[in-house]
Amino acid sequence: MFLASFFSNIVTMFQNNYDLFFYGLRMTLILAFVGTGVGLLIALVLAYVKVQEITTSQRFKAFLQRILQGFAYGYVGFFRGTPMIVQAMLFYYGMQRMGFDIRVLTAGLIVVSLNTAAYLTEVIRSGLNSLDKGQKEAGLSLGLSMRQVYILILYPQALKNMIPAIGNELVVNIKDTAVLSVIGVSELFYMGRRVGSASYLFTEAFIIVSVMYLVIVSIAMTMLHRLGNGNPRKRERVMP
Amino acid sequence: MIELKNIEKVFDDTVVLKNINVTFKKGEVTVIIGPSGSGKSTLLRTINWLEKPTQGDVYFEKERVQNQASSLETLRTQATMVFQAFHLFNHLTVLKNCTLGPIKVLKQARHVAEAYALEQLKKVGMDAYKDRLVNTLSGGQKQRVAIARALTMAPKVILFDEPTSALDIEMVQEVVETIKHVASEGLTMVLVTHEIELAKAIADRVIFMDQGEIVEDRKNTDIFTQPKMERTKQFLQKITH
Repeated sequence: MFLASFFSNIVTMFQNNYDLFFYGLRMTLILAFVGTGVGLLIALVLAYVKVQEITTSQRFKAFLQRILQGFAYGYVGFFRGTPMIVQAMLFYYGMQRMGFDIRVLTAGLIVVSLNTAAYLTEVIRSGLNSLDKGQKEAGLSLGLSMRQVYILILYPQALKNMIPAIGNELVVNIKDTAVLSVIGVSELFYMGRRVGSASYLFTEAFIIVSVMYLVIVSIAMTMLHRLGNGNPRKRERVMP
Repeated sequence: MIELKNIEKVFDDTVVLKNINVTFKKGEVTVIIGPSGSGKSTLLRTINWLEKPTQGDVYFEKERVQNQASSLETLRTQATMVFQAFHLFNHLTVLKNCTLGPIKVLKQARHVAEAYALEQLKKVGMDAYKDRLVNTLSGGQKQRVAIARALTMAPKVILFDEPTSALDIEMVQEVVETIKHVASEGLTMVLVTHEIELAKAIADRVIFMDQGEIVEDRKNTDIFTQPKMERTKQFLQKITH
């Protein structure tokens, strides 16, 4: 009797609020995909800065390189060393405090991108380091600039090997963007809480949310599994 | 054409090259021989600044090479290198390995670069493999593609760093024949090798190095029959017996 009523509540809740749940799901997917994409672009730049050997005889250029490397190390250390929920609070309320009226979705996208960039920087750095040093030398010996060597030779090879790790980061982001509800981003977790609090049926609401997360993560993992030979269940993040 | 003046190279506390003063003339094929660890490859890599000299200067066509990206890129465009371990770009086909430099560095149009690359691939007998990914090739084939890749830059000098050392014995001959063919066209070449037969066949000049120094520098291949220095004699006796 209890179970029948329980499941009936779930079905009714979903029928009455599916638009809210799907809106939340859409926001979650936007945050995860945009965050992973933008994070990847930032990570490519940061990894490039981190792996550079400072060999130039020009003092100012060498000084600039050291500053940039220091920034890259500090950046990665901060974003991997603090929880994303804290980063979200700090960024959103920090911007408010400085007088910037930033939208919560924009703040959420920025935070998830910056956070992802820190993890992917380490993934890309290790991917670049795993390549044969000769690939870089062969590029340089053809007269390519260092930047061209990275863009045309090293990144394409490193990224190919890193598809599973980047995919894992996407899966992690689908789940971890739930913490952005703390600043009011109306993603899936936020919507679950909103629907639950309107009816005081939190268990039912979060069963719906769980099923939606499970379905979307399973689809993403299946796609990843087909894309590469990596293990999509393995979480790549390692604390510093 | 290329002049190395007072070159010294130190890795940590180890002196790898000392007091190197040598000039490579246009059209000359120079072979550098010597025991392992004698500094042959480091000398070759110093010519195009893959190794930055600790002291001394490199002059290319009377211009002093400077530690600046533009100076180094210009030098390397004209002094390309063929490596012991090939170092072909694994994510590209044979043809794309040969057109990357001409298109991106020499700014050639794709059809021009491809036509010239095919000509060079034909020269080394690899034109039929143009669409193959390089990791599907044998060692000898990879090295022939690496030679074609260096030729597509139309360089003034080609530097060969032990081009046959990483090959199985039956593949050495195909690469040796390719290098002989390239040498016959009058290109300036500096070649580090243990292949004495190859050295005898193509060298205009032979340099023997030991412990980071040039011990003997001969303008012909007489070094193999009449070495002047005792260290050269001992080395040649070792490798021919």
